[in-house]
Amino acid sequence: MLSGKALSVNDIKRICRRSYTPIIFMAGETACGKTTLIASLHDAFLFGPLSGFHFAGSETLYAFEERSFESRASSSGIEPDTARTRYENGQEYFHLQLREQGSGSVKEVLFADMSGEFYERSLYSKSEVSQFKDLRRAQILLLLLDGAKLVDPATRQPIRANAMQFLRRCFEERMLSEDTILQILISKWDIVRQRSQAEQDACMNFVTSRLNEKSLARQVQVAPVASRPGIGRQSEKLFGIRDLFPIWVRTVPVALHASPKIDAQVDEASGCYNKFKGIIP
Amino acid sequence: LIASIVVLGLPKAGKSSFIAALSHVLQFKEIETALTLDHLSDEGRYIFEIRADWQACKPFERTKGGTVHPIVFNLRDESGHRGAISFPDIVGEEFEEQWSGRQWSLDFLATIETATGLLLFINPLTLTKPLSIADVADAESAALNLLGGEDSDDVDVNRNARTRHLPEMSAGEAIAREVTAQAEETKNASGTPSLWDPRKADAQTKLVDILQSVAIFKDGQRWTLGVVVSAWDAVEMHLPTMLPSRWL
Repeated sequence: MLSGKALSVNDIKRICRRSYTPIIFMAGETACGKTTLIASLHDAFLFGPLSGFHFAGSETLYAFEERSFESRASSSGIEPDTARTRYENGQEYFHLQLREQGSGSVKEVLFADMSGEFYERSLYSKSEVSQFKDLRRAQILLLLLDGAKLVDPATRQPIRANAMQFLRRCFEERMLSEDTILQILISKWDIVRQRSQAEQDACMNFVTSRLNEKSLARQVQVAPVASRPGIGRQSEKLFGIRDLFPIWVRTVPVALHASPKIDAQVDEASGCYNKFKGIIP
Repeated sequence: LIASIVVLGLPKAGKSSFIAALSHVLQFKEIETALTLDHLSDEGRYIFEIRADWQACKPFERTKGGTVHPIVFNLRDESGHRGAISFPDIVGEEFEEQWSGRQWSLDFLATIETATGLLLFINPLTLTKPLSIADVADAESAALNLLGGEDSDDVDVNRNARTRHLPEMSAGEAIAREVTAQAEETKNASGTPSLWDPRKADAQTKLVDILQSVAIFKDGQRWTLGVVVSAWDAVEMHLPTMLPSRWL
């Protein structure tokens, strides 16, 4: 039977071979909410479909439950928490198989998680960036920034500066391909929402003023999220995630896009896509 | 042998009760059935004992023997066609061990290898929703508001515990039931979360894991799967018009 534990890069080859499977790569400092985001997806599926997708299986159920445990009432804790992802675990992958409502098509998706220590070390050490080598095969990079720190003028500067430095490292080391979609998520938005509208706007502007398409010379989306809000803010559960989740699942690599430049009609005579005529005998 | 049905389910899901009741119905014909017992099995001590316990409304002795108890019913239909159906009784602990230890027992492996169909048992009295600490805390304050500021100490923590997971209650009822039951589990003296224990994982996830494991083991086989919601009388008592498929 399956181990149910988080997958290694060798494990995911099997999944990626059997169907096209987008990899959502998560990066961010320690305790910014990477693992909580992953655990909140699992928790959501325990109560029904999410954003038009039904749960249809997972090779990492045991790992999901382990990550969710400290947020559950059954843990006997007082405050919801998520077990810290350990540095020695290296790169870990979480798997979901989904069935789309309506079409019934089955899709798979992988979430790549790793300790925030990798992110922090990569800021000052080129050699540590090599730990992010799996980023090259990812379709989406989620860079999570801690909203609770961004909303506070006393703690916001290093968060943004570190994000910029991390991205620069990735560009310099060619870790981020042109096709990789960059999404910057301001996590713990439920905490930000407790502030005035002016402070919320300032928080968002602080990020977008420097982390934008012009300064990064690539497409970038900035979105506020609240995966698992704290006590008293449950109405905001999965805020932002519900909108992003279908994008993650439906992402296809540029090579598979029906580009207007490619006439992807099936040639009836040969049975091949025109794109491949001459290549496939 | 024309079929081998494997009964799956966590502890106290009602698997043994079902098999004992099935044996009773087939043999004593108290109600009309399409199939009846043709002749007794050569070796039937286990089914004899659990049926006797069931008839006497006694709890089953679960510690005797191994994890898989072979049971065969020799049946015939109205036209006289005969056939045997294997209905092994697998103790619920086997499935808890599979989840925690991530391996099957050899007995279970042998059972699955020859299986032709699956019956998954779910007990609505033990299948609780995996509420988060925040869910419970928020619901607790909402429940106290609904109760008009009634002191939480005055809430009868036992009155709804048996039906706390039943769907389609009013929002107030649902909140009050969940809270009174789970607040007891949440609160402890130190407030320190207990260490990760696989046994405390969500029951629904464990059931999915069991089914996934069987599906992967015989990749490509199209299984016939029946889902049995046991103790249905407990659901009907509160939701008389509820259908099992909707409850699921």
